[in-house]
Amino acid sequence: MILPLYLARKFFKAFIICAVLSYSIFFIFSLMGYLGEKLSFKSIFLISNLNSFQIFTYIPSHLFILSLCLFVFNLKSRNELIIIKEYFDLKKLFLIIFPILALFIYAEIKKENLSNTIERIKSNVINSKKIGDTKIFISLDGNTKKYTIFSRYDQDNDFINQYLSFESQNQKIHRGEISTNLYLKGSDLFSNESTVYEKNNFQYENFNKRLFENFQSFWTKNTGTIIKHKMINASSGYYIIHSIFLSVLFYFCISMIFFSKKLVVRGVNIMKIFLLVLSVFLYYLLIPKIILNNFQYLFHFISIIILILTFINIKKYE
Amino acid sequence: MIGRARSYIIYNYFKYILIILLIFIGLIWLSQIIRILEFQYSISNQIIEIAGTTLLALPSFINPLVPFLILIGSFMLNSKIKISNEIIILKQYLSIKSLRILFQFLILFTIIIYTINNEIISKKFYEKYKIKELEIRNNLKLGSPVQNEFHIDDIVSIFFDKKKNNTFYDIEAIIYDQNQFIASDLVEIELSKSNFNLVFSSGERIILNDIEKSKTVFDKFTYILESKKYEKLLLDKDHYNTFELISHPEVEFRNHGHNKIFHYFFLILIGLISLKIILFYENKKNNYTKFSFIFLLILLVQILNSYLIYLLDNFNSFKLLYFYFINFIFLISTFFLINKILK
Repeated sequence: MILPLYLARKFFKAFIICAVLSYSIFFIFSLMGYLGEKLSFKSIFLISNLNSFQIFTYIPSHLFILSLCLFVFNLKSRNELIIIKEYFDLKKLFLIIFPILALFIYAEIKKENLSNTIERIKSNVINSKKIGDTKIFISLDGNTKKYTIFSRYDQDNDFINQYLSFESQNQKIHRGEISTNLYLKGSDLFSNESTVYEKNNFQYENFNKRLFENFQSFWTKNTGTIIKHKMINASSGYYIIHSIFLSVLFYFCISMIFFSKKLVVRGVNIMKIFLLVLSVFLYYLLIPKIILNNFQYLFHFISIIILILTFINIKKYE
Repeated sequence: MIGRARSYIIYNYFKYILIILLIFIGLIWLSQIIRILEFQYSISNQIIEIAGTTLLALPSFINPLVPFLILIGSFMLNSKIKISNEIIILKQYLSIKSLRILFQFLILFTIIIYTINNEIISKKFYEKYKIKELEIRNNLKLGSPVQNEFHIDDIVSIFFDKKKNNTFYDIEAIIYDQNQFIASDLVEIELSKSNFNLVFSSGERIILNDIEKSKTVFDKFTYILESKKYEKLLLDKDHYNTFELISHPEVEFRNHGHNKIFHYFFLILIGLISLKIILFYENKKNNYTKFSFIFLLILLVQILNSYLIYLLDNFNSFKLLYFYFINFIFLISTFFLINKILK
């Protein structure tokens, strides 16, 4: 138990060093960039801090690679890597670093939410109105398309102030509704009064009416601006599974490269390893950013297959 | 042997600085690319173009970070030669005189590279970057349609079935400003003088807001995107070198020039400190606490310098003399404090 604890402590130290250094560099970069803006220094300072955090949310994997690199090369320089490889096989090593891997994979899945939250705080600091306060729910009922728009979000009360809905079929508008007098009853969204367009008529409705069921959980669960009803469960589930798969494979590949037998050997070609890590890193960063209009699922499938093959290729020498 | 020892230090000094520089500048570059991609709802076909353009801005990104990258590189080199006990051997072989020559060479060489980048390379690349950036910004001004959705900031959202060039077919559009909803056969993006227009054909429009409630059927309806003007190139501070900045008619540009001058002194101080760090040896297991403290001090000097340049830009009562005086007082105090720590 002493050795795993020793390794965990060493990794944690490497992690802290890399996190602090990265944060400082990103902070200086942001600070210098924002100095020309017409903002108070307090705001500039706060935004620079938020920006540094945001860079972490864009690429959390860099922290893992840098920490692992520092950790492994530190062990190697003290000849401890040979001893560790003697005592632990690859499976045990993976078992030791599994909590860290799990933490990073979780951060990868949640990074978009985190980045959005930081972006919202930044917008508040510079008092700029940005999208994200509005949510559009699109649903299909046969040939009728319904667009429901929740807007005028009030941050103090954590509630929206305007409900709009439009229904159309074959490029003809059938129905429209607006209400700015809203309240929550249980988890559902209600209106006290609203104006409805239907059958070529506008009519004012002065009574309580349920507009949206389970609004509270809808608002908190869906962080994006556009939410599509039919695709909602299947598609978001698919993207989460794809993201988990890609992240697990990526982190396993990187860990495997750093714990490989090749690295223990003195006089190993570091440049070759560096280029391999860089290629896997860039692949992992850019592939999820590519969105195709056609064959998107096939593209995702091939991208995962390539990463699996890379993983098998690295593993076969171990 | 002494010659070899000296070249060994020179080689490793620049090697570590270069590694750190590549890592952090690379990370900043990647984060910039990802940030642009996220804002534009992902634009796969323009990744290469964006990567190429942001690459041109890297020389100007490097300048303010150089002192910190030198510092981190020195910490790494010290750890490396300390672990392998090379530091004791080097200290034995190198006399004070040869160390002084070595230090003078390293600082001079670093300043020359920094000056060339600061005054020539970054300026030239930044000019190119701004032109390319403007092209991309104007091309992406309206964002990019992805997965049958086209969002133009928080102004308009268009949902379409088909797209050909700048025309979208079978569309539903939401114009947020007046709570408008449009269902039409097609919408075309048109550029007129300096504005972008959305021209809707054969459709229906409904407006539902506090002032107006109406529904119209139209053959042609044009919506002008007033806030989306075609941008023109503006010269900013990074377009000029130090001399041009100092003689610029605008105060902010002149202040920036003076800040650049201060940064040369800042770099000299970091150079001196970094060389002390490299050969710093204590019979302890590691120097993490001392190095962390030094890094924090330098970070504070940088933050203070940023605050002073902010005061200089925004308050007339804060004179240039105060800027130099306070900056140098802190710089010299930091140098002596770090010297004491590294004794």
